[in-house]
Amino acid sequence: MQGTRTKPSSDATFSIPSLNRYNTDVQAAQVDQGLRAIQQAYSPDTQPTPQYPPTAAYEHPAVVSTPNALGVNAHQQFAHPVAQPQPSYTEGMVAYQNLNAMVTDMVPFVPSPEYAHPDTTMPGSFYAQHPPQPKIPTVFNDPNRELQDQFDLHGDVNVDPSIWNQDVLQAQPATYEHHHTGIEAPAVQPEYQSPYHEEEYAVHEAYARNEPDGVEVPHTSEAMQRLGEWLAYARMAHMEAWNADRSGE
Amino acid sequence: MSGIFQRALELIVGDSSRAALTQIPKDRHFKQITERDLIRLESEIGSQIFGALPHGHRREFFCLDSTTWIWYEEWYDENRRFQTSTIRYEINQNGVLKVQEGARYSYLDGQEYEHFAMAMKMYFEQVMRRVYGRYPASGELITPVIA
Repeated sequence: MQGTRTKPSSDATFSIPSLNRYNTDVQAAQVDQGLRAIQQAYSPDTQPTPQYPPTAAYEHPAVVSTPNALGVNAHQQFAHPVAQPQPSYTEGMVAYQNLNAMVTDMVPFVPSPEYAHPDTTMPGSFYAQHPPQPKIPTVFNDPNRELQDQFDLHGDVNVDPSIWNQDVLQAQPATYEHHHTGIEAPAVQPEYQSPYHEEEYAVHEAYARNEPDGVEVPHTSEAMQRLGEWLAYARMAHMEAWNADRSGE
Repeated sequence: MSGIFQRALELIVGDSSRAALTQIPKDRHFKQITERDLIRLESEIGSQIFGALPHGHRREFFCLDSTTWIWYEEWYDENRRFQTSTIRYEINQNGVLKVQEGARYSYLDGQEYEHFAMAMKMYFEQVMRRVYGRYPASGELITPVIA
């Protein structure tokens, strides 16, 4: 039937938008509105007249005698505006409190990752300040490396924390070898099935052979390959961390 | 005729097969990142470590895998013809094998070898810091994980 509209049912599809740019703009507009109210409430027009006379600097003749393109002299342009009806002190305080509450609500706001640039070098980027952390902790220069080697572990985030039983560990000699301990290596959680596990270990070993005090210009094929391995490792670790962050893990 | 049309279309909108190497999809922030995406980011750095490019040139330089590096450059010659050059550097036990189009193979030596080694170092240092947020020397994250 032409011209007839059907009243939407109460369960019509409508979803409150998540915290995104739209809401941010709305909040910003509300803040602007609150700020204007405060500025009006605390405008100099509503304040007591200063007791001191204006200085000569405010009455410079060159300023007074120069009309602008609209034909308004500068002293008129910058003159105090005519006082207009202003909100009372109470109204100003209410506006201030409303604004304060609004700002307080906004304090925890952080840019949604969907709007963050993955380039961690971009100034102001969310990920420049909060770079995604790989789920696999770095194996470089890890003080627990000896411990990790004993258990043949290279990343321990997914390992059952019960393995860190200090009573058991401290009861063992500090220099014992893994295959001499009789302690079974703890089971790795199923989710820790990274295909880069072996590569990670290889990089770890490769790095252990390198000079620790800086990256030398690779003059040998072996050194060049190590650089490539480190890049591949960093790439995979970054990708895993990023994608885990995206999938909400 | 279709070839001419295809060529004209490429000149206007670009070659999609080549563009895919460098164009970063705008919606990548919403998706999971791929190794290819990261290589593109690395190549943005790699293309700049050799200095400014002549007008009309485009360059890519990136580490494809642990033993393969790619140099790609495209430009228009004096006859306004589109030219490309792809060089693959393969690192093996004997050195760095330079593989050019036309089945030309040669091992790097002398100054070219030194330049390549220095380019690798510059690439590594900048990519580790700027793309992956790690110290090049140690591999540790520049922003440590706070437990």
